[in-house]
Amino acid sequence: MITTTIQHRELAAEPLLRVNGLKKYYSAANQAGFRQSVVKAVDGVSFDLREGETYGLVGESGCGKSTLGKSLLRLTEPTDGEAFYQGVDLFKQPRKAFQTYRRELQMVFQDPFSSLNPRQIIGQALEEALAIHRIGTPKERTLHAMEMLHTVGLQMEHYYRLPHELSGGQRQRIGLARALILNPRIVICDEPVSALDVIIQSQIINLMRRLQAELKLTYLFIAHDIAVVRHISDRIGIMYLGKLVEEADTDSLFANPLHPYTQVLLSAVPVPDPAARRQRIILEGDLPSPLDPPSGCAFHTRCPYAMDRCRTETPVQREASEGHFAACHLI
Amino acid sequence: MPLLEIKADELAARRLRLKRENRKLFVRRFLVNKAAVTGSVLIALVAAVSLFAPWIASRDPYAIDVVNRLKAPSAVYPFGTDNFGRDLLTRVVYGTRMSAEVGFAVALGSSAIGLVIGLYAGYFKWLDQILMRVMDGLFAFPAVLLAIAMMAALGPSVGNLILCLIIVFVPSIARIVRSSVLTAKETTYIEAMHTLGASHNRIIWKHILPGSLSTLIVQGSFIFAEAIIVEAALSFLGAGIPAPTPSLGNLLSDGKLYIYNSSWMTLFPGLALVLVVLAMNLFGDGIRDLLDPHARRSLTKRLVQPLKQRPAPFQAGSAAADEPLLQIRELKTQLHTERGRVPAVDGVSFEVGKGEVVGIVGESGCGKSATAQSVLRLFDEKRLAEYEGEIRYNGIDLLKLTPKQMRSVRGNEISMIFQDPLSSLNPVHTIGEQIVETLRLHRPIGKKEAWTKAVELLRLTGIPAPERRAREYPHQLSGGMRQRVMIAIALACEPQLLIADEPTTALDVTIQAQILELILDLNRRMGMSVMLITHDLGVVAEACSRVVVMYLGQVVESGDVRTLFEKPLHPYTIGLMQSIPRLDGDRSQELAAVPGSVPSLDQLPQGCRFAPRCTYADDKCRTVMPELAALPGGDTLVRCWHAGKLSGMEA
Repeated sequence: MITTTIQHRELAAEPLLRVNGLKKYYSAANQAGFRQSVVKAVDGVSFDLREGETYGLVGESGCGKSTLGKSLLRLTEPTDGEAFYQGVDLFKQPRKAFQTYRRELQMVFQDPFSSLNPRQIIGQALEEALAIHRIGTPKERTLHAMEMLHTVGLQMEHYYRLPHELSGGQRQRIGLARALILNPRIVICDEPVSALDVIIQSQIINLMRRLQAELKLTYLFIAHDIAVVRHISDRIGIMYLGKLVEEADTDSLFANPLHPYTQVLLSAVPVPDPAARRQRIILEGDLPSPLDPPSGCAFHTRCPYAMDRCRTETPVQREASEGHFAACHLI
Repeated sequence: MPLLEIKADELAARRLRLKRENRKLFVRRFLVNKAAVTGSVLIALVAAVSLFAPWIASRDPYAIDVVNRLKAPSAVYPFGTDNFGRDLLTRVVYGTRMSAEVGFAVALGSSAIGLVIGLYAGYFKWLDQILMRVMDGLFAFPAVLLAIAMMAALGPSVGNLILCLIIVFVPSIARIVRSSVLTAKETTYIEAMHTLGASHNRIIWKHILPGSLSTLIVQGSFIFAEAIIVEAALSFLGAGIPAPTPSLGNLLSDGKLYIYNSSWMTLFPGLALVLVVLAMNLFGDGIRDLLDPHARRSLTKRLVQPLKQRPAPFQAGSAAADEPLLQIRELKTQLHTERGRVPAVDGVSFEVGKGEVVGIVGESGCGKSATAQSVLRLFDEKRLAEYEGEIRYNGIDLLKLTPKQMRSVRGNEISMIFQDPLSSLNPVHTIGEQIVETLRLHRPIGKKEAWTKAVELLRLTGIPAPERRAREYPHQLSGGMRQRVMIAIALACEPQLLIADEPTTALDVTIQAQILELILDLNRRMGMSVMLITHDLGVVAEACSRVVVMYLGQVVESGDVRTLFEKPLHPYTIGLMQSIPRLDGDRSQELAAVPGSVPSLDQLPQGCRFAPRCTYADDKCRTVMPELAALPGGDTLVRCWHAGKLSGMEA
């Protein structure tokens, strides 16, 4: 633990990935079929990913956190912004050149049931990644795939299984293995445990932490379960309607949540202790439609502390204490 | 390394064996599929006739014999002769061969071209615009008309006919392939291939194509049949295969002038045509069923769309006031699956008191939902499930009721809400209509009155502007709103018991808190009992007064929430609790995770079902199943040999 923290401090000056003003807009036709309106799924998000850390990205469904992850890998082309990796802007690379960076940035998906080709045996699924990048001979690939199975806690006999013969937890291990077989430096994990049962969830989280230490990985951990994110992340960013509303070290965020939305999120988590009945802030209403986001601060329609200023003026991100940022007029 | 290679070889051998077994299984499934078998036999017959035509009919199909013209069927001429005295048997055999050849060539050609067009049009959006507009243009003409027009331009010949028919049938294949590509393209595993850096062609041919093949085979066989019919129609009109060449269409055309006196000239080619077309259609139907067995009807649908007739009123029993509302005793639910009969619920007993909120927890596959569905008898009792034991509701055993009586219990006395509200709501009716339907099914009230009640119910569940919302469709509402609507429908007839199956799992955490609060509020205000099925122990701790922990179809621990959370006795309960990351937990430690996963129901372990994953398991655990029993001096029931020791240890 100690060594990694020191590493962080040394490398903090030069982040592994620096995302600057990332925007992803979709145009959506209205019900009549004409007059296009714009959905700002991700609206100017900036953050750093430091080597060896886990950056947790939290938010409700529809807040743009998954779109953000996909934009970084250009699974969907970002509308605007920069993402510097080793001094190179990933978004400005031509498609062909970007392929070489694909090896370094990999992704783990949410649904272990649909993220594997149902007709392909596990071994082939793993080897294909190597074949695409022309790594090794077929025999070497097989051995590598089998080693990878071992690394993620499976047996060699799983090599010849089809995805439907495996349990959800085992499939998610395969998802990890497939992402890691190319030896990436950054792994973007899009809700990797939310489809799993609690016990399996904790198995996978433990595995991910172990692999991070062994393989020196950097995680962008996207999830809606704040308890899970807290456990695995070094730093956390909270997203609401396409914007980052708060960012801080995990401990600082939980000790002193600044943004009202963060406070609501924390208080909404059910606590498995019947003796501790807490005062819970229950939000009125739903997430506003991203087609027609509220003016000013996007959270003002549901915020218990909303003032007149919030309705008209968009708050900018401010550093409240070292490394703790929030975008709220109250600060 | 050599050890690894030896192991790899051994595994490969095992895989081969498995493949062989799978093939056997497929053959067995094929053999019970009557359409596929009959179709295949007929196809084999047609193929044999076509291949061995010269041996079956030794005469020359073109040899004119004017002396023997229009001879009725006899021993010498089994099918008779035609107006030129040509042997009809020979001509039908060669005609069948010609038609089958045309059909085969057209099916193959149009499938191949349609496949490529469909794959690329479905995959590349810009190409889609061009290719599919062309296909739509072709598709706009009736197939036969288009073929006639083209044949008129090209002139009759076998080659031209095949070419025309291919052009005619390509659009239908292309459309079907394209739509299957469009669905496949959106799946996560295709997205995963992109992250690995796979090229477009690799994704198209290696990952998308195999998924389209089954529909292609089915469609190909239908096109085979249709091509033969269109060929017959064209030849009949003289725009197909030129005259002396025998084809089924030509033979029918020849026969039409003599149909009153020499009906055999039409009869036998007609029969042959029916046979070939039937063979292909049966085969296509059979293969479709084989490759894509239609999904079983979902349980949720049946609940929401009840039968139109009003069920017989349910006579509530005269239960004593202190008796619990629901008493489940030794409930066993056996489900018939492909792998035999499995005990989804295996001797479950618990109670739900009046106005009580009871939580049922466990991982997926532990029988929580199966228990709930058994209470409402939602499984198909004719084919799928068998029940044993007792489910006493207000003193009456639900398992003894007739299906008709049971319908009046569902939605009226006991209601259920599900995890996914969207699939439980009917997309073509407004939510108001759906509540009215439920109300009027169980209560003799007018439409207007029911509508007023529906709006009232929506207001009760905290939906803003209920008058307006009642006129909206499910897709216009957010996930949280839909779950509120489901609750409103469930509450329509003021049930005494609400079964909530993972009601908040699909919702965001802030919405989750709202819905949970709503259920508890209704419980307090209306005195309605709630059976809350969830995997989230946090939800249980906040909402329930008692909790039942299930593992592999059995209750492993049950008791008062406070006691159980303070001092869990069963190792599984302890494991569940420790595996949750807590907001105040130590982040530097690993999470305590029970090893392994829930085995499937057809591979139940011997002895205690939790033994293979349990750290405390000994020989006794692995051989003898413990009973659910209370420890001396405690109220909590637990199914563990070591519970006494464990409770001492924890203390």
